[in-house]
Amino acid sequence: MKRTTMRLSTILALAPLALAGCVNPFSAACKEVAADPHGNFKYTEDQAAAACAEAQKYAHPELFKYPDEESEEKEKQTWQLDPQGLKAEDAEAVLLGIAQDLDEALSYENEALADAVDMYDGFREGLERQERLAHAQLDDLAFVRVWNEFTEKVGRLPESVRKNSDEFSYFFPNSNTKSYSLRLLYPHGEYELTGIPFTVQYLEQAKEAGVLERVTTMDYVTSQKFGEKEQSLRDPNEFSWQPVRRGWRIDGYKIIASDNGGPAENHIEYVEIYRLKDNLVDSEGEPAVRGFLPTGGSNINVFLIDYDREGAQGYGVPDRVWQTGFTLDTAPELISLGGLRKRLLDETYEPPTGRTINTERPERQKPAEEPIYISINQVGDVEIEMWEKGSFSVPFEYDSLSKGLKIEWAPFDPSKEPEKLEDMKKVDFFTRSFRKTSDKVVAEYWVPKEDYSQRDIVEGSAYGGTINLLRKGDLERKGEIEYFGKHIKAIDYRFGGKWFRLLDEDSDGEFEKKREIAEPSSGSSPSRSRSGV
Amino acid sequence: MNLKTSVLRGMVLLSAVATLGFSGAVYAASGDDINLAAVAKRLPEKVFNDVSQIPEKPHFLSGYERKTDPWESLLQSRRFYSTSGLLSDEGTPLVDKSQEGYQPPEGSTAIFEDMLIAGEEVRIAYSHHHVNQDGMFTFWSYKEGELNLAELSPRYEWVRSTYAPQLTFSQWQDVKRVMGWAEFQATHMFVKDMVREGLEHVLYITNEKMQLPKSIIQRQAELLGDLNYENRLDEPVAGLPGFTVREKMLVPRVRPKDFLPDLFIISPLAFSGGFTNAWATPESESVIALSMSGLAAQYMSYFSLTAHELVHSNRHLQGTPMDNYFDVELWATLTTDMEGGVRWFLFHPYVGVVRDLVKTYWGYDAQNVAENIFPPAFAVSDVRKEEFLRHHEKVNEIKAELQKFIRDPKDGLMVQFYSDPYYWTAVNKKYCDTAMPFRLLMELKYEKATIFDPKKKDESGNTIPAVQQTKRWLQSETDAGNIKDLAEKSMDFTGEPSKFAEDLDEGKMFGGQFSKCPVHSRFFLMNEEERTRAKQIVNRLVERAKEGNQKAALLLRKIFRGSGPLQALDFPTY
Repeated sequence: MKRTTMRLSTILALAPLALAGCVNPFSAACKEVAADPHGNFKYTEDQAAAACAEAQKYAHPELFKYPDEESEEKEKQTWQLDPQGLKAEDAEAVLLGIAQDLDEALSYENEALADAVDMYDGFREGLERQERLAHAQLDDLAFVRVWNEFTEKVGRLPESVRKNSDEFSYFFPNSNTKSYSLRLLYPHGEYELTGIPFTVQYLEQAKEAGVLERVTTMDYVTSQKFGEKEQSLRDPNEFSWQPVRRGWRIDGYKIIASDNGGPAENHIEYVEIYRLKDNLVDSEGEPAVRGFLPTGGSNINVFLIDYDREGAQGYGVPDRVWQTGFTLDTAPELISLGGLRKRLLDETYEPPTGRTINTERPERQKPAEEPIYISINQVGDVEIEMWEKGSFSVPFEYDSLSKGLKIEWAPFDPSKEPEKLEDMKKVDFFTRSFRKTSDKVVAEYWVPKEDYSQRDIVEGSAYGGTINLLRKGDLERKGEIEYFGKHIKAIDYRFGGKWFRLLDEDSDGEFEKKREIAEPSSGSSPSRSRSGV
Repeated sequence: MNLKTSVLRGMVLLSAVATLGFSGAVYAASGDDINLAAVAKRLPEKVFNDVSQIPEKPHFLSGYERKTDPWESLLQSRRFYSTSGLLSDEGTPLVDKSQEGYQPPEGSTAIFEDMLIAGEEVRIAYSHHHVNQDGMFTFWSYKEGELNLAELSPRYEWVRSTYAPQLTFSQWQDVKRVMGWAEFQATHMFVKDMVREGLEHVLYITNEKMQLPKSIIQRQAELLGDLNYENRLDEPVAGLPGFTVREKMLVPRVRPKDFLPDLFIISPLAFSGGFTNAWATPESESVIALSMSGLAAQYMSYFSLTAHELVHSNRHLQGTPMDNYFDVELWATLTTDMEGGVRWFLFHPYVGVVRDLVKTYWGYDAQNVAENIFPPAFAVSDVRKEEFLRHHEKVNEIKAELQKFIRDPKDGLMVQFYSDPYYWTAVNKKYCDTAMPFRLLMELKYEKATIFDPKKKDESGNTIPAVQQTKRWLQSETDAGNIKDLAEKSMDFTGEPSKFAEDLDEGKMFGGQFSKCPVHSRFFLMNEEERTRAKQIVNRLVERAKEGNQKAALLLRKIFRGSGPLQALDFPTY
């Protein structure tokens, strides 16, 4: 192979190799240590090569079966790979890395990466398929890890169960439950790995004796209108809210010995928590959480958690063992104790990040494609309708709030009105404001009756709950707003931190238009705003 | 290498006009194929018959032969590569993928053809060859510009001086059309022969030598303790819709269609090799780009270029995502390239780990051998023929043993690896090295022989063999606890940033936090000059990424698996 000049193709071919040099593999680290002239060993290059080849076995001795030091035939024995040398958790770490790689490749979070994946026909679908496979393999190995963690905390699988479990015998032929073997990934057909039970001696005995009794059952439901924020992947300021409704059914069990007139205390000794289905009435078929007594303990503090919803891959198989310093003595504590509620209720819907990969997260959904278009228009050529049309009203009762009145005067317009009337006033609107504490929350804009809508007002004021108006050649009139006002033309109100305006355009008493507005002030009354009445 | 295919084409005299012209096999999207039937009528019969002869080989192989003699092959390769400066920069064909398959856009003059091979149809795109009503052209270099293929024919000058004086200008243009067509015939037949040869080789190695997938199925059945395993392979997997037992257990497939890509791109790249798209699953498209110079190397010296790329193209053997966890280049090399010559063994970068292990276990020091055959010299390149031929035999001996070690259907390296890839990739991760199956299985099978002092004699005065000297020294070090100590101290540095990373940019961008185990240990077997070059490559890659080159940026991202120097450099989007 010959390269004349360094072109991108060459770079693309060689760069992975170059970058591979950024961390040390064992072989390189070893030769450096072995041949270090200032180190302990000071081996020659040839000695280092031999020593480091030999040292591979000592670096991870668990992977090998090595000569028996006591054997008389020690010299004839050779090192062999130990079929049970690799831990299942080591293979799981690789599969987790694979699943994370796939998750990253399939995410739309990085636009360029997503584009690259979609550059190859069928590649995204292929990766999704590989991801399903990786998760299935991961589930198998995670099962083994969780099962081991579980039995460490609650005690060995009862001997009777162990002996009678064909699954246990097949998948752990040497009773070594921590080793990796190809069998753990094998869909045997007759035996299923998940057929190895998660159970405890005390429960088995109680079931056998018929003394395990359900003593508590309760449903817990939460509803949040703004439960889940859906954030645009491309624009940090673009988002929407989705309502979230969740529910759980909690069944608490207790071992009750017969003929003793009831237990001395009401602590439960086994608990099952089920997610409720979308109707918040029916529960899923398998518990999302099961709680057990620890080895030698008398209060529940070991929990098996399954993060997968019914129908999802991995459903029914625990994903995690959690042991807490707190104990769960009664079912209501699941709600009252924040730590338990978060781990055992909330997280069954929102799994914690870490080992679990949430393929349903928003970043995995393909963003809507941005439309590509051209739009050339002169300024002023475009008309828009900002008003929402329908039948609207203020969405809260406000009549009982403290009120304030104000007269909005129409400015004199010399081009339309006779000069002699310049000293006279004309009512534009009467405004009635409603305040909650000191904040204005509603403003009504009243159109004056015909008698009070001319430029013939000498003096006028609004104070307390009344309005005073003196027309030229008339007596001073004093009354409430309904006396001077004909009808409400517009209402501004504040709701959910935003201001809205309702408009009765045809003066029929119905507000048929609505739009969001800036906070109203005297300068933005309906008659003076650009989009006005 | 299994070379059943006759590469050389005899001269074909096209006597019947009816056989001329392009069929659907080679075409231009515009439909402006050369109408040879009409051309034949416009030219004198003698002239037409003469200039329509298809050359024995393409113009760029004129004067070169397929050599079995290693020395002649070496000399010829050197001669060929000294001319490669004429070759063009990289290029890819334009396709319109809104249509089905790989269709050139409407109006394109690029040449695409379909090839039926082992019952499978694959498409070949010639990125730098074009056809239009004026003839057939190629673009090889900026210096030459686009050339009429006729002008590249070794016979062109003879034909011009012989026939041009007696022909009209229009007839002379017809002659160039016909000669260009004949030249392209030689080119595309050569390309297809090389593709066939590559496929035959990889099928021979995987199916006949390694006996895949049967050997793997047998081994897995033993591991699983299920005598019925083979019969269950096509059963669906409960709880994993759409998957069979075969797929869940990663049983590789080695049928022709598993190796063949959807598209071959043939380009006159300066890079004498090939590329296969690195991201692929069994469901996704696969594209192999082969340079003409690489194919020429395959032809001249049995370089296994196409077979090597076909291994990459087999997504059951090297698909995403497993390809991140073992050295796919080393694996392709071990699968198909072990018939390479002395120069390949001594110098090819993919063989670095092989040379390292061969020296450790069998004592053969490739670096010293290379210096003996090609001693450093001033102004000229020095080469020793006798040394070369002597080591040709030794390398053959090494390759024969390696071939058994790698390909044995019972317990060869490949069968062991593919029987349980998760096991081996987990081992790779533990040692932070993508070549661990090769390293560990060599360690378990062979005695080491790297320590040798010819002056050390036994009681009879005979030189103590290297293997005994090495074993004796190792035993004393082991007994003293030094090997165990060395292993533990070395593990402290395993997976940590290397000196290379620190040197590259003080470890800021390329340190351990961005690189994950396992990595390719062959990098550490490169010499200083090669490492310097690698550093230049990385820096250039980063520069290109900073300039907005998406390929470079994506490559960095793929290597660093999403959390690397791109973030450190604060790239806006990638």
